[in-house]
This record gives sequence, C-alpha cells and structure tokens, in this order.
Amino acid sequence: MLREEGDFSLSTQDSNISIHLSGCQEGLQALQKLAKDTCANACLDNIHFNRIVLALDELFANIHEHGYANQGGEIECSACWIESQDKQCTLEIELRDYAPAIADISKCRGVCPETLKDNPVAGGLGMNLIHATTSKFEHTPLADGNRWRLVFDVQQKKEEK
Amino acid sequence: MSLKIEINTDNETTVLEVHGDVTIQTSNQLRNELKPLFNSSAENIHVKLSGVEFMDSSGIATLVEGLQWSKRTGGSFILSGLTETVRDVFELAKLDTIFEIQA
Repeated sequence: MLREEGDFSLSTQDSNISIHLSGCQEGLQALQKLAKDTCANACLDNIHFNRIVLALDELFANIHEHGYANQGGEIECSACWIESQDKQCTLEIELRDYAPAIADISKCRGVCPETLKDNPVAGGLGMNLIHATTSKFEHTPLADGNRWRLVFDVQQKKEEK
Repeated sequence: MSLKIEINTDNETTVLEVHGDVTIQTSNQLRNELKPLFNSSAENIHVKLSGVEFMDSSGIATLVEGLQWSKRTGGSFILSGLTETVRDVFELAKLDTIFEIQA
C-alpha cells in the first residue's frame, strides 16, 4: 500500500487507500475519489452514489473532528463489492483510524427525528445519516483505534440503450 | 473549493442563492452569511439551493439554525430549488417535513 506524508495515494485495483491527514480537504477528496472509482462500473443512479459519498463524508468528518480533534491523523480505507446478483449489489467499505478507541458508539446516536419539529437541533445528524444510508453500520473498538464497517445494498440502474 | 453565495434583499425578504457543495469545509461560509441576518430586522429569509448538488450534515445543521431563528422570531425561513440528491438527504434526515420547502 502506497502512502505519502500529508497527501493520499490510491490504488484503483484493490481500492485501498491510506491517508495521513493534515487537514480535512485532502481526506474528503480521497474518500470521494475512492467512492467514485469503486462505483465507476457499477451503474449506480445519482441517489445511491450520493448516499455512499455522504456516509463516507459523515464518518470521515466525525473521525476528523471527534477522534483526532481536528488535528489530523491516520485513516485507512478499503472498499470492495462483496456480492452481485442480478442488479442487486452489496458494497462494503471499511475505515480504520488510530484515534482513541470508542467503547460504545450507541451514545453517539443522533437526535430523535420526531422531536425535531418542536426542537430543531443539529447535533447528531451525521450519525443519523450514516445509519439511514447504510444497510449495516458496525464499529469495533481496537487497542489502538477503531474499525468502521459500512455496508450498502444497492440496486444498479438499468443500462441505457 | 468554496461556495458562491449571492444575496439580494427585496422588501422584507432576503434571498440567498447558493452554488457549490455544502460540506464541513464550506458550510462556515454559508453560516457567516446567514448569522448577520438572524441578528438583523429581516422578516423572511429564502435560501435557493438549485446550485447545490451535495450537502452533508454540516450544511443541514447550518440551515437548522435558520429554523431556530424562525421559531424564535416568527420570521419565515424558506428553502427552494432542492436538487434530487439534496432533497434525498433532507428525507434521510427526516427534515423534509420540518423545513418549509418550495419547488
């Protein structure tokens, strides 16, 4: 796996990237590129592709802001299609950080949408969006960081003739 | 990577037309334009989003501040021109029925 300090590198063959973050711009760009390259041949519609990018964006932002306190750090990311049947596909994306391990992410769950009408608050929207866009979202605390697994069940759009 | 925001005031309505992606990197720009309006005598704020293809929770959070202003002051805070992908994000966040959204 290639890695450059303060930058990112991407192998499109195995869709693995390692990012050393000095800020959030290059990290977001790297993850967007990973999503774009991974989905390049998948024939996804705009909505499904946007949901994948959105979930990555939100998870990355949380790691950057809360895990690394906006100071930057290492994030590794890999993506693969784990199954394909007819037009139904499953995409699995894994992120690994070296920030302090979080024991229980259920405490990070966002606000209850039903209460938003009377009390519109913004906190926790990112976690809500990750849960809403993925069919499975798993977190594993490690001795030296966290592993995050995002699974997307996506329907490929019909190929245009 | 930055947002382009055009602001026009017509009688009591201030219209913001936003172009670009609203993300953790750019949402502060939008916030910096909206905040002075929340402290002004503006009665109606209209945010046009037809030029926005991607918005994450930081962008939505900024717009939630508009909702809070609206509840506090009785002013109207209207969104319009949501693209397909941005509308989907509002629906995923279950905020599509809480904001006043026009076509």
